[in-house]
Amino acid sequence: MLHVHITKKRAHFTLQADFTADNEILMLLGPSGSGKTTILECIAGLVIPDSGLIRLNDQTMYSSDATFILSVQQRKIGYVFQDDTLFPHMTVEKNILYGIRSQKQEPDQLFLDQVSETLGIRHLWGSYPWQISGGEKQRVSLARALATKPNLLLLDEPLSALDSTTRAQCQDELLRLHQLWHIPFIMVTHDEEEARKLGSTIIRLEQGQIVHN
Amino acid sequence: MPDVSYSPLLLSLKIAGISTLVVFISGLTLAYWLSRRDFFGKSILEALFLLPLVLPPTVVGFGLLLLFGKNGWLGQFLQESFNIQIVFTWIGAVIASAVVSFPLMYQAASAAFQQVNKRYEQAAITLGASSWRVFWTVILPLCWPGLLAGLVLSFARALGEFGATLMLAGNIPGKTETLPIAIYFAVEAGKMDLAAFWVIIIVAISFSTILWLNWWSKHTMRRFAQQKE
Repeated sequence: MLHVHITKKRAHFTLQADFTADNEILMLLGPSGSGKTTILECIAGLVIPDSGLIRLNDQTMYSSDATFILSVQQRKIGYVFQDDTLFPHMTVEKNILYGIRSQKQEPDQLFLDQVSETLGIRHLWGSYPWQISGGEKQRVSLARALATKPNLLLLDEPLSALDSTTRAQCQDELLRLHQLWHIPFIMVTHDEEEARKLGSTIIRLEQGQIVHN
Repeated sequence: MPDVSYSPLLLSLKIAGISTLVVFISGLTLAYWLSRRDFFGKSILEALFLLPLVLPPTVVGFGLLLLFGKNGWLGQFLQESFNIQIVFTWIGAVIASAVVSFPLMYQAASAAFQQVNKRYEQAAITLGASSWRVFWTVILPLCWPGLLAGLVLSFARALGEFGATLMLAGNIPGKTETLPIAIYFAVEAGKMDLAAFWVIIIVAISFSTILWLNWWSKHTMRRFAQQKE
């Protein structure tokens, strides 16, 4: 269970987010500049909120009352960015194992095989990011984020750069992945249709405020 | 070929080598540190770092002489505490070369660090990597072409350093007589063939350095462009 209750001042508005997410796919839907990415960055710890509380299961990640901030590295949150962030000088395999090595975990081969199988990227392990397509890149990014077995997955418009066919495929894969690993997925999108297809809960944002309807 | 001792060449290579090592480490560290911070007076500090690039080397030499001379506070301190003399020694030549070539390394490193997409760094820390690991495994490999360019340029600059070196280290054969200084004093003494010999050597070294750097950066650029396709 993820609890988010934060405020953050931005240039043109003050972001106010107050929601909880179970082991579901929660969609943050809204036009660009409405504060969706800022919410993800606050949850991941890349941006520090001005006030509030963020808690995942029993772990407090941020609390302005207790002036407590958990470091990004300790949050155990997977993050798939909108732009391609695969390390260009590492093979797909090294990219996927990067988190495992950073956290000094033992690689769980069975688990990695399962992720690769579901995403259909097994044959890409020896390739470099510049040798694979946009859809494959996002699949690898997803595998990299999941490889460390995070407690929460954040997805920032991961499919926005893909053509409609690949996009639909990736959406199906995301749904399959979520059925396999019961953790909250928080996904940002500006596409109404995508939000409806994937989300069990949809939160609409406008100018940093949650719009209830 | 004139009958010469090769000590100016060897000395030049030694001094430029050590100076480049010092400049590489300090330039890289400061550029990285400053690229991650914003504070009042940062622009002034950066302007100060780049100053030796535009000042006449004699001005740099004068400043160093004030600092490291017998009555300079740093010179006095080193002499009294460690019995180390800077003026008229090869260490002085290293310091002069380092100060003059530092801006080239700093600028190259600074540009390289700024070019790296911040998202790579963020991706790495969300995967649990410490700042130290991020630096070694992500930032350094991605910045390597820019850093190497800075390294080569500062080596070439250190090799050619004349004004500040002469003022701080003087011209002592076998101790501080580097190639540029040997050329100057050979001409002074009317030994034109000796001067010409050194000129050919230093032009050859500098030219091949720049040639290699150009070839190499074109080569990496092409590889980079290929990656972006």
